Amino acid sequence: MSVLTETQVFIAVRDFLNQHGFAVIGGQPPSGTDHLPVIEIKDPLYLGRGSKGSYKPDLIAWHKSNLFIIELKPSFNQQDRNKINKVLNSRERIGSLWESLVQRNINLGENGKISDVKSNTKVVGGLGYGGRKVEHPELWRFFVKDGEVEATPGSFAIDPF
Amino acid sequence: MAYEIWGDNENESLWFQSLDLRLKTATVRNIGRRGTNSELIDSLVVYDRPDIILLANKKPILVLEKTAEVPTGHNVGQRVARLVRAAEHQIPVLYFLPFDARKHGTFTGICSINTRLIKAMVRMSEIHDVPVLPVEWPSRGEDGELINDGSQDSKLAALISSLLDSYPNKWNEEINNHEEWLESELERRNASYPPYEKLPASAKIQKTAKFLDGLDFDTKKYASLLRRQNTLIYKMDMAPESCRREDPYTGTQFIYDYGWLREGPKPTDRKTNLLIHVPKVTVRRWSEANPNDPQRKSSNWYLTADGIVLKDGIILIEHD
Repeated sequence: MSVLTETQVFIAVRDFLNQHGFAVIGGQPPSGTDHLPVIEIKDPLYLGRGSKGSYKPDLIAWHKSNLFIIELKPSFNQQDRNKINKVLNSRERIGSLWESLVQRNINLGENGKISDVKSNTKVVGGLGYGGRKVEHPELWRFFVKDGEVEATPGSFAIDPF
Repeated sequence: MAYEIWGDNENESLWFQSLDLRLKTATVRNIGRRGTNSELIDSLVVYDRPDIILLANKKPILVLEKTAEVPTGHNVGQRVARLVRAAEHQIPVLYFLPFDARKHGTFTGICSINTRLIKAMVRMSEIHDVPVLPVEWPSRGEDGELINDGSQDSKLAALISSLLDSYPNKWNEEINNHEEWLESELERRNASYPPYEKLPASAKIQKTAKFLDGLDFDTKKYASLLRRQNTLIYKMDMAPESCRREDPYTGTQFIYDYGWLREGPKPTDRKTNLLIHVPKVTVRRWSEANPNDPQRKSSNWYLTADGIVLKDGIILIEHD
C-alpha cells in the first residue's frame, strides 16, 4: 500500500466535503495556494502584532449547524488530536475563530452569511488521514483509503456562543 | 499536442488542469529539488521554483505563479526571481495574484498592489519579448474579500487558452489586450498613489564617484564601478546576526533593475550600476552567510546587481 502525501489527503477530504454538501470555507493546503481563505485562530496569550502562536487549521467547513475544524496528515497524528482538543476547550480560541470568520464575511450560499448562523452553530473537530484507522471518539474521522473517504462522526461539540 | 504539467504541489496542478479542457489529459508531475528533475525543468528552477511549468510536446510554453497575498511591503519581490528566469528563457509567464484585497488581523484593511511590480513585469515583457504579466485575482468590492466561487479564474483561464491557441506564437490578441489594460491600470493606480511611481526611500540613484567617496574604506580597487556615472543603491539595514536570508531582497533587486535600469536582456545592458548596500555587515560575515554557491538560494544575491557594498569592502559581481 502506497503512503499518501498530506496534499493527497487534503485534496481527498476537501473534495469529499464539497461533494457531500459541506461548505468548505477556509483552510490551508500543505504547500502552495488554494482558493480558500486561510483562517487564523489567535493565541489568547499573545497580545502583540503578527501571528505568533496562532493556529491555522488545514480545513474549515460548515455543515448542518456544525463548524468543522479539521487537521490533515498522511497518517494518524496524536499531536494534531491534542491540538484540536486544546482549541475546542479554549473559549478564547473559539472566540478568535468566530471573529476571523465573521470578519471575512464568509458566504455559506443558500444558508446565508457565517454571521447569520453563528448563534446556532456548534464547533466540532476532525482528523483526516490515511494509513491505519485509529479510535478518537471525541473527534470526527475522515479516513482516506484508495481515493475514497469514510467519515465517522465525533461526539464532542462546543455549543454556540 | 501532448501536455505535461510540472507543479510545485499536486493541489495547484489539479487546479491548473481545470483551467482549459485541453489540459484534462495532461500528465501531472511534481517539480523536485534542483538536480532531481530533467535538465530542462532544472534550468527553469535554478533561481527559484515556480508553481507551474507547462510543457507542450516536451517544450516549456508557460510558467505560472499564484498567490493569495497582495504584494505590498515585503511580499512584493518575493517571487520575482522565478519569473525572471522564465522570461530569460523566453517562456510566457502569468502571475495570478490579488491587486486589491483585505488583509486580516487586528489592523485589518484593504491593501493594494505595489505598482512597481506591474511596471517591472511589463518592462520584462518588452525586454525579453515575451509576455510576463500579472493577472488579477479579483476581490469583492464591498469588503475586499478575495472571490473564491470559481469565477475568479475566468480571466486567467482565457489568457491560458489564448496561449494554447496561438502556440508557438507567444503574443496574441487576448495577451496584447491584457498588457494594454495593465499599462492603463498602472497609470490609473499611480495617479491615485504617486509614491509607487518613484523608487522607495531604500533605493536611490546617485553619482557613482560620490557614493564611493562616502564609504568608510579605501575604494580604489573598485574603480571598475566608475565605468558608469550613476549607480542605483539599494540599501538594507540587515544586522550581521540576521543577514542570512534572501527573501524578499533578492527578488526586489530585479524590480528596481527592470523597472528603472535594464535596457536589454542581460545585466550588462544597463547604463547605471545596481549596487546592494548592507552597511552593517562585513565582507567576511556576508560571504559566510550568503555565499555565491549555485547549490544554495543565497546565489540569488549575485544574479543581477553589480556588487554588494558591505561595511569594509565591496564584493564585485561580473556578468557575462
